[in-house]
Amino acid sequence: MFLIRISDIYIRMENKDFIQMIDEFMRRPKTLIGWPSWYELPDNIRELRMKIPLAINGITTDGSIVLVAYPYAAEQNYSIMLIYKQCISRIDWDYEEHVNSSDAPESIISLFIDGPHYHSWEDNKRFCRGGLLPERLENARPLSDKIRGFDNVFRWFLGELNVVQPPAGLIELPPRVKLL
Amino acid sequence: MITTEEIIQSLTRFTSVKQYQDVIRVSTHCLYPSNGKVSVFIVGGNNSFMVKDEGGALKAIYPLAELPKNIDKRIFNIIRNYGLQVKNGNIYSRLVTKEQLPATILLVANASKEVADQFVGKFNSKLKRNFRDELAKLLDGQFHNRLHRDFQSIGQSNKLHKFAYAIDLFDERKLLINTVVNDPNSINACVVSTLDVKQANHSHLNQMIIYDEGENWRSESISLLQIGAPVVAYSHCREAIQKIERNQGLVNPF
Repeated sequence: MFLIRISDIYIRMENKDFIQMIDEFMRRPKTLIGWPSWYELPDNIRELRMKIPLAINGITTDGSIVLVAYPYAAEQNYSIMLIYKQCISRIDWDYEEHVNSSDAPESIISLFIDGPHYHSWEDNKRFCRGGLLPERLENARPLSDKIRGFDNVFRWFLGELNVVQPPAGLIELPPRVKLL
Repeated sequence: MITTEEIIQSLTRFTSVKQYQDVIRVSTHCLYPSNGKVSVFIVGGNNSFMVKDEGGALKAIYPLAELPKNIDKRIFNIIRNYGLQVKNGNIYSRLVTKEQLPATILLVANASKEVADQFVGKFNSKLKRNFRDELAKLLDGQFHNRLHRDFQSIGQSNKLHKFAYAIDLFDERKLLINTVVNDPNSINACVVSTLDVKQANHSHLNQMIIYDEGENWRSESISLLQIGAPVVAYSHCREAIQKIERNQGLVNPF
């Protein structure tokens, strides 16, 4: 049994029950709350962030969607994350190589991914230990070629997470800044 | 299986008809954008009646920052196809017979609703549905015997904070409820009081912040409020409080 903090209350539960609780969080329909905006990090102006709280049945949760954009990057580069205490699912839109763990579901064929990829909770929940979330999301799958353009990627990700689609134009990627 | 009679009965409960001297007020099934019910008023006698909304559409979107001068013309453009008239914001029908009355009630109610719907979009008005008044009524109706107003609790700083409401829960536990509107002063005051009381670790107290989701909130404001206590949309506060009672203090299992 592990002591797990949920909304300021500590509850004793087994690791498998903890995973089931997050599974349930993933299954429940969630909504984005408020009108978000990008903000610069004080120690890194080249990175912009946006945080949008998630609610279930109108009540805020420990979950949120966090977007990170790098407008100064040479190629388009951003991440969209589902945070539940820490990152439990993420899309990395970059052109760097990702190497999967050898402890990956059988349906993940390639250990190497070159290009945009998706770290799902389903592929990474096996790394939960002792009522703790995985420190890193080791496993990922390449993002389908059919999902292109920030808005499509963002909406696809929300669909995967059972988050109600926001109105058009709520979130746009900040424009890229060309270096002189 | 529910019977048709039961459905008819339950729908009837939503409609009320009351007489005030020479006017009859009919509360219809239509809803304004603020979720207030559309009422229409019937005047006349014998077999000649007029149905009007008494400016209900404008009252429902009150307060607009500034209503345009040609308000009647704008309303008329919206209700033209209903065959209705407007004067000083009051939407009204021509004189109708007893047989025509039910359909006319429907037309005026729907026209009034449509005007309110369209004006909200056009003038981007903030729907001040007086959320605090509505919340007071809701809590009073639901938790009358267990409700305390202007409840005071001490924070870790030793400062005494005032909360809009407290509800007695099980085992002498209490739920403190803070209300907040979309204004920096209100947000800051709410965060300070909930956070200070939270830091005090009173084991018998739970907290909840209720906000009016009809306002245009910034995501970061909600995130900030969340530091102090779970934030609950007004329209979900009743079920959230019931959840707390069921889950013995846990507002949300996530």
